[in-house]
Amino acid sequence: MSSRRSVKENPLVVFLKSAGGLLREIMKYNMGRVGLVILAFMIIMSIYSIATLPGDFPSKWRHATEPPWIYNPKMAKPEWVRSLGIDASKTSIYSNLRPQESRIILVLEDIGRIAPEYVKALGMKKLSPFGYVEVYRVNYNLDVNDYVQDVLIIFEVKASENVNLSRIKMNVLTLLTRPDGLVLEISEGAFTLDKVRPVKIDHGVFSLQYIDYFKLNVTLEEMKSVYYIAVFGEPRAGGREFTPLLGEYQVTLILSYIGIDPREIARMFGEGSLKVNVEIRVLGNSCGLLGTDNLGRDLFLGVLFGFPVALTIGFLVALATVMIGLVLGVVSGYFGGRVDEVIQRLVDVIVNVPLLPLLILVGVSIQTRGWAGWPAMAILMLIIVIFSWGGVAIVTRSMALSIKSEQYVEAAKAIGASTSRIVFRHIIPQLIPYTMAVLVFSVPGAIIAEAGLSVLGIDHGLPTWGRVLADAQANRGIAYNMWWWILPPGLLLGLFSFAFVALGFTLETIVEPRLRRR
Amino acid sequence: MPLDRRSLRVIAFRGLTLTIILFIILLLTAVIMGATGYDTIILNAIIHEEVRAYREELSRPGSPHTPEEREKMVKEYREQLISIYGLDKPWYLRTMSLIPKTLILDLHVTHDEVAGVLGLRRPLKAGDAIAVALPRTILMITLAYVLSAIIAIPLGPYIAYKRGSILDKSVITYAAITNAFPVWWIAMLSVFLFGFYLGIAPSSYRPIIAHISRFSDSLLSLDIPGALTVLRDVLYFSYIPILVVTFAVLGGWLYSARAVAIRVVSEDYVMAARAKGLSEGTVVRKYIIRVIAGPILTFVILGLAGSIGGFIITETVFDWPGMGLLYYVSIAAGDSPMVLALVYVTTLVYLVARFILEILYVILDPRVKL
Amino acid sequence: MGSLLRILTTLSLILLLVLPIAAALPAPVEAQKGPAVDRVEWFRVPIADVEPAIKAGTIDLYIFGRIPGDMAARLAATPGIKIVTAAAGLTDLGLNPAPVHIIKLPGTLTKEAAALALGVNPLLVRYVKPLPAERKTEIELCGIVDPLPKGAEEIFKSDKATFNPFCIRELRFELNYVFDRETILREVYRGFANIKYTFYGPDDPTYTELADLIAKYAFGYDFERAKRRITDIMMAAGADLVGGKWHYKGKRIDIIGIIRVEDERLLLGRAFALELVKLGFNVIPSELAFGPAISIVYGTNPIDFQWHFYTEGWGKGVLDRWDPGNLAQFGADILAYLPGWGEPEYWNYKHELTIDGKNASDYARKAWYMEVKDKEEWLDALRKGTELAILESVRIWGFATHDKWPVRAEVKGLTVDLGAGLRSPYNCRGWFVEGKKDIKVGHLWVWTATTVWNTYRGFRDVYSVDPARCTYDFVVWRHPFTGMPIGFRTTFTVETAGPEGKLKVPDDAIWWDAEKGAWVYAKDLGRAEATSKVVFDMSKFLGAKWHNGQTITWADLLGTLALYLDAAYNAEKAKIEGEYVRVYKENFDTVVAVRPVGNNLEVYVNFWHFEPAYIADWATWATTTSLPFELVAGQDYVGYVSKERALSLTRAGAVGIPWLSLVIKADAELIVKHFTEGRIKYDDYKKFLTMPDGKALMTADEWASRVRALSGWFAKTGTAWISNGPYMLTYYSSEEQKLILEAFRDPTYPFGPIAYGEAAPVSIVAVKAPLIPVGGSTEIIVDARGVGDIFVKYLIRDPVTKAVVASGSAERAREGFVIKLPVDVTTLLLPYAVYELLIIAYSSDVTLPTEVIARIQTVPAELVEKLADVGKSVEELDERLRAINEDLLKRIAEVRGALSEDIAKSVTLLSDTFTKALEGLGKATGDSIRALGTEMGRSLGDLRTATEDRISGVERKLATDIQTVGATAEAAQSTARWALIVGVVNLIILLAIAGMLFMRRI
Repeated sequence: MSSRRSVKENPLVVFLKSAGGLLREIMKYNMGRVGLVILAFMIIMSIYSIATLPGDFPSKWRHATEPPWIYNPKMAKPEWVRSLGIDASKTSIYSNLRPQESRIILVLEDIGRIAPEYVKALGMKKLSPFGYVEVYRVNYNLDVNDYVQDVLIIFEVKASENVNLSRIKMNVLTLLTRPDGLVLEISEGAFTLDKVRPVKIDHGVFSLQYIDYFKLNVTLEEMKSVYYIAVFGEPRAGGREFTPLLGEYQVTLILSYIGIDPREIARMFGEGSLKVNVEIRVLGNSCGLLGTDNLGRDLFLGVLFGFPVALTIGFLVALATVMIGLVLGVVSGYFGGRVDEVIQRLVDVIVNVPLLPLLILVGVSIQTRGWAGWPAMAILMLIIVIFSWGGVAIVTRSMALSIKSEQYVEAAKAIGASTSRIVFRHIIPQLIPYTMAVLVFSVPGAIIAEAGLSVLGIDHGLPTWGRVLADAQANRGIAYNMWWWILPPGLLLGLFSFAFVALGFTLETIVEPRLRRR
Repeated sequence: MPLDRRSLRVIAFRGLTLTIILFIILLLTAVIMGATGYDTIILNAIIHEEVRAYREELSRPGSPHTPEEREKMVKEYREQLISIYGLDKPWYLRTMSLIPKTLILDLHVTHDEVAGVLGLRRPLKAGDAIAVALPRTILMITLAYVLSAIIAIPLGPYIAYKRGSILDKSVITYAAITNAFPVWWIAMLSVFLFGFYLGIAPSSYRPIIAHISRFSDSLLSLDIPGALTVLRDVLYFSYIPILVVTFAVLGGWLYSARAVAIRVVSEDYVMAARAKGLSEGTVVRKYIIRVIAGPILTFVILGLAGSIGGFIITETVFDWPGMGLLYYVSIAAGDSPMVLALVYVTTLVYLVARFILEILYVILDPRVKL
Repeated sequence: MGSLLRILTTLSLILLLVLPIAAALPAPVEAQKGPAVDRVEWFRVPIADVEPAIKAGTIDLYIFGRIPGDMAARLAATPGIKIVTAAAGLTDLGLNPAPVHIIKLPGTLTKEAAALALGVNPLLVRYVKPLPAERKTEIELCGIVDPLPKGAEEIFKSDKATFNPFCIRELRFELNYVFDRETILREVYRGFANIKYTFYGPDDPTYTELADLIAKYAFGYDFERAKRRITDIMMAAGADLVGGKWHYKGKRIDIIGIIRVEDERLLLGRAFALELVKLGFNVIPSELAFGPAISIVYGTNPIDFQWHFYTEGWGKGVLDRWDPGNLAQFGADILAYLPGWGEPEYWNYKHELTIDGKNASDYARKAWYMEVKDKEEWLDALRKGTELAILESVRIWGFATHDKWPVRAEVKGLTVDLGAGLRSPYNCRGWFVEGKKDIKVGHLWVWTATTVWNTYRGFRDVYSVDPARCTYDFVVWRHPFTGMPIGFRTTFTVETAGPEGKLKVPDDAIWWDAEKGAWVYAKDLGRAEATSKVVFDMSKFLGAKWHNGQTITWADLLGTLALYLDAAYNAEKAKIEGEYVRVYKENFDTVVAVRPVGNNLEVYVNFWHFEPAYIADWATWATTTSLPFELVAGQDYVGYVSKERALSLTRAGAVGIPWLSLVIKADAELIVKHFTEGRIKYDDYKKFLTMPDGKALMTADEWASRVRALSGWFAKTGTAWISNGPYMLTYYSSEEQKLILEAFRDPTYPFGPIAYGEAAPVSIVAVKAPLIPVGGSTEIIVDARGVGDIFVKYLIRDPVTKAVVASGSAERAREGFVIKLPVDVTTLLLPYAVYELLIIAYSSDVTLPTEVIARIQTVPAELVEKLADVGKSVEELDERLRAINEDLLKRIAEVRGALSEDIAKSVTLLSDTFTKALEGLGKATGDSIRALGTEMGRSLGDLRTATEDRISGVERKLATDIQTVGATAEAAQSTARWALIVGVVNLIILLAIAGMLFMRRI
């Protein structure tokens, strides 16, 4: 065991040396190696998470009707799934596009020259775009037997002060040229540049042309319920069933600006005093590293936020619990008598108090105060600490009792050493290895309890692994075949606690023999 | 086994402290339920909705009441509701007055959804609610505990005997894994996999109520063949939860059985027995199992006592109408009497189990100084 | 060329007629008696399991409508499954308008005078109440005013807040523009809701009378306008923007938002909170469930400022043609739903605005309590009250949320009630699955601890009401599409002398005298006259059978009525079941007497309504037909005599005895035992069955055979629920959460399956709007088609300011509905301007309105005369034109060629796809057409912007052309070109409208 240390050595160095020694010792056991590897992975991921995620991420996660979530496909599988051969259409984002054509159109026929698809799709039936017109084209390859969820067009308008945005109107028209040659007008929009909105596929716009082209005996109402399959699919059995139409699609976006003299608009665009950057998103059934949930939220970001929360809470709660247990255990063990009796009875009470019902109660009443976010989490963790130091106290008391009866402690007391000197020089160092093991063991406890509370419906406001699991449980009617929603947070919870359990076992075997032999 | 006056006095003192602890815990629960004002909030909301509905009915077109008359009737009705729900008394009087009643379980469920969870209706005594919920928790969790004890106890010494072998290593990793993953997550996975995806098990377990009552009816009426057919339904609605809990709990049991067995195996008299050339089987049976029975027994009793409260989250995930779900629903509904009754029963059972163990300690093992 | 021009302008591409599909009268499916299926399996399916269950076919339909929006959207997009919807709920944001400072100033002051005295902006003064006795005025202030002028007396000063922005009416009104309803409709409700700008909307039949008023307040999402106006108001009120957050007198202004978590209101509340943050307010969101939310918002005094906004949600009742309820409940204090909630010791909201001296509550009271002499006066009160409520904006309205019922495609014979959707009792009378004899129905619960079947104070939740309504028939029910009361298993005639007059009650009319405990002649109780008389022909009930084979007699109609009246008026019984008395006594008070004559039941009531059918609906208080006499007597016995069961929830809670439910085995057994063991004796209940002339409606041995049949029924089914409807309840298990309904095919049962199908509201096929001559008169022809007699109203509105220029209704004429625009109307319009023409059409048979916004363009009157001459002399110009500009003609020919050939093609294309679509159309669902109506409104709106630009572009081009050409000798050539261009423009409008109309499948 550690020999008597000379006073001179600086405590930090001592700590580092013993920590280094401990690490080397742990590495000897393969369970220890596994534990350390996982722990390292957790720490790296937390650093990455703190570095990349914005500060207000929790409130961003709660506002599910705001971008960026509404720009994602819903219930989409993780992207890497495609490389495993699973049929999931890819999500392609075409951002800061340059228009292929930009011209002022005054006469009806001109549109045909710069956008032949327009005439092919609509002929003269529709009002031809008018004023300063821009045409964007992007290609999308549907390579798997799956449909596409939506074609979303997002606008961002930047203008210098002298440009009166409310007077300039923008008409949006989106055409989809399919591999089978059919050109469909899939969406349209019209708004002034100061109130720009994203544009999505609108079944009302193309259903009639679709029914007519394929001679289907399907009513518009029935089309309404299968529209997104129809756009990227071929009808069978008169429109009752569809199969995906694979191949090269081309999305043509025609923007026409009006409201003031088109030439004036062209000049503004030319000199950059008005800039409209356009982003076209073809939303397939796969997106991001861990896919999206039913509201389109990127699950990888939600899970990523869980790493630092798990580590910080895990350590803080474990540290607090062990410290309180150690101090009270030693005090009651060393001093004995009435102090010991009081502490032991207190331990008996807090060990038996039903912790989970208490947490549920406090969790529910917290929600009435509107402290969502870190404050709510702090309160819950405080309660866990208050009621879980009992176990440590019992063990440290019995160890302190046995150390107290050792000869050299008796001798130190005989020569009049002060109690604090005895406790800090003789008893506490003996307990360090045991406390280290218990600390490591209890790190996962806090985050498991938090996850349990979330599943029971207590919302502290932070997107932790437990919160993600709770959302999956609440939507289990659809989550049952969304493994990317259920497995990752659960596995990470398990991996996180397995790491510390493994480390705990290794530490126990290291510490065990010496302690027992006493 | 000397049962001298001194150890008697120690046992009596221990018994007294345990009852004091029980009383403190009840007091603490009552304070928690009352102080947060949670139950008053719920009752206030219910009273408000009822008064609003009543005022709406009173102000129906063609109603002969003048506004003043109507206000008076609404006021009376509100007072009546407040006294029914006992909100006229401050919270500490209301919840404190429940504690003496809790000791004799003279408590009634105050919320309908709490009775509904058990498939019963009000008026319902808290004791009857527990009597109905307990067998369902026993069917699931305690049965799983017993199952894992049956597997762990004989296997423990065997693994200890073969320390360092692959079996030993795999048991440790298995224990580490099951200890790591929360039971309710495994439950969630099993509901999704077996319930929804494969469809070989139900996706919600609440109908177990009907099957258990049909099973007990046919048993009472001694119609054995009928009971057997119903048993098939009962099993269909319970085999997954039992297996899940067993899988989760077995790891821990195996690990502790092994730890206890290791200590015993390294004792000298076992070395001697083996040296005498007795066969492995007799050594294990005669020496190891008999000696480790004591600590294992403690583990079993404490485990069983602990399981009475049910796994709150696991039962909620399974929608299994046992003690755990009853615990959660009565807290969420702010039903103070039911929560107090549940805390009282679960803590009483746990403390009694510990008290018995401590008596056994004192009698069986004089070495242990209290 | 001229002829072409004439053809083009007159040819308005009238589309082929869309025949109205809805069958106004119920169409019996087969001649066989009873419902369309033999057996209904009705069991619990948790919300999370609905999607897999309906896809797998374990259920054919799910009758609980509150499934989440994204699940409904996914199921709607699943082939083989459709979603039936009906507006069933309302969501709004309730605001807390409480003042932070209430003082008294000497003298009687107006709002401005008070503001002057205090040296603050009048905006800050919410309300002034003169106190003549003390010769002072009580002033409510939205911001703390200190120092107070001398002589001022302080009544209340909030310590929590120095300023409440929502106390300022003008600011609350601006919040209507901050609520982005379109995005929430798309992202949160996934389209399953109607946008509402106030409590009346396209989901209420009464909206047809208010549509023109509400059209003035179409609050589009206009964050910039709201931010500008609110910033001005806050600055004027003395608040200042510190670090992007509003402060008042140095203290930050906090807004506490209570947001409900259980449904879409969570995301809606968060979106609104975010808008307030963007406006510079510090918002503290508190996301709560039912309990905490209700007790904070409705359980605390508004001036404690524990909440500032709350995501309110309301359930909608059955469809009601003339519904004063919305105004009374949401805009006035009749039902105490204005902040302060009518609690005497709380601060209560007092109206600020008045029209002709009356405020919103005065008008609501007139409409709610029928203090009117005719329909016009009632409508006038409703309109004024609604406008006041919109201006006061105590609630920011959001949506009429739809209940969504997933149904498998094979399920036929449904009735999509515009009010109750799939929950309407007509459904179980007509639904069937092609090729199958039974149907599987899922519901959220079959049994909960408060699901109780007893006809006194049971049936308090949908889980008991929905299945029960399939087991008994009604005297009067509401028509699924008009909301008007109609006879269900009876026919009725109504005679009234209301609102003031009285009719004479015949001498042999009878009434139950609770003191004597016997039927007596009404005249002996002084009941000699009544406001109205309703005669119900009960021949479809009398002589038919109960489910257990017993014959329905007068004993079952009058005997049960006597038992219910006794429960309301008997003093001892009133002490036992107080809740029953509180609810039913005041309704029975309005019934004067009843009189059985042959198979008719005459009911005399003191009730008047301008719609006679509503008087008959009210008279059903005296018709009790759901249970046979012995079962009502059984309930009476265990409730009032043996007192083993409670009939109401309050008594069950107070006394601690079970709440009686006739379908629970234990309760059914208890009643049957009391009968078979003779404790419920014929002699005890004879008095309820003996007429004043001594005749007994049921003899002793009839009673004995009733008891035998009852115990036989209990032995067979385990329940004591026997009724007369199309289904018999043959199995009910609370533990298994399952019940079974079997068809009642008795020959005496009057009806076969009933199915109304789906409603097809009025369709507006075409709007022929010529150029509007400013200063001249003209007509607009609206071609509206639908079932029953159709009414068309119109409104001309400035597209930007939404100011209504003119409104009125169209007269029916041969070629459609004619909107006459006389000179005094057109002079109000500006020339060369574009206006919105809002057209609202509804029919007597389908009262849900269809709304269409068309575009009309104005030109100076004299130009139109010129155009008329041009029309006449255009041929001579032809030759001269050809000579002058060859390529112009070629270009015109080219344009004409493309147009005509294209028109020819498109006409043929349109017609044959249309005829094909017509067969396929079969049964376009009501909501899709209604949704198309709104969609068409919206897409026409999009078209509006598209055409507006076209027109503004063309108009500007025209203006420049006209200047250059000038009024020189070539006037003829320019007018020809002018006429052509105007013609082309007009044609394009017509084409566009036709194209749009066609594509929207009118």
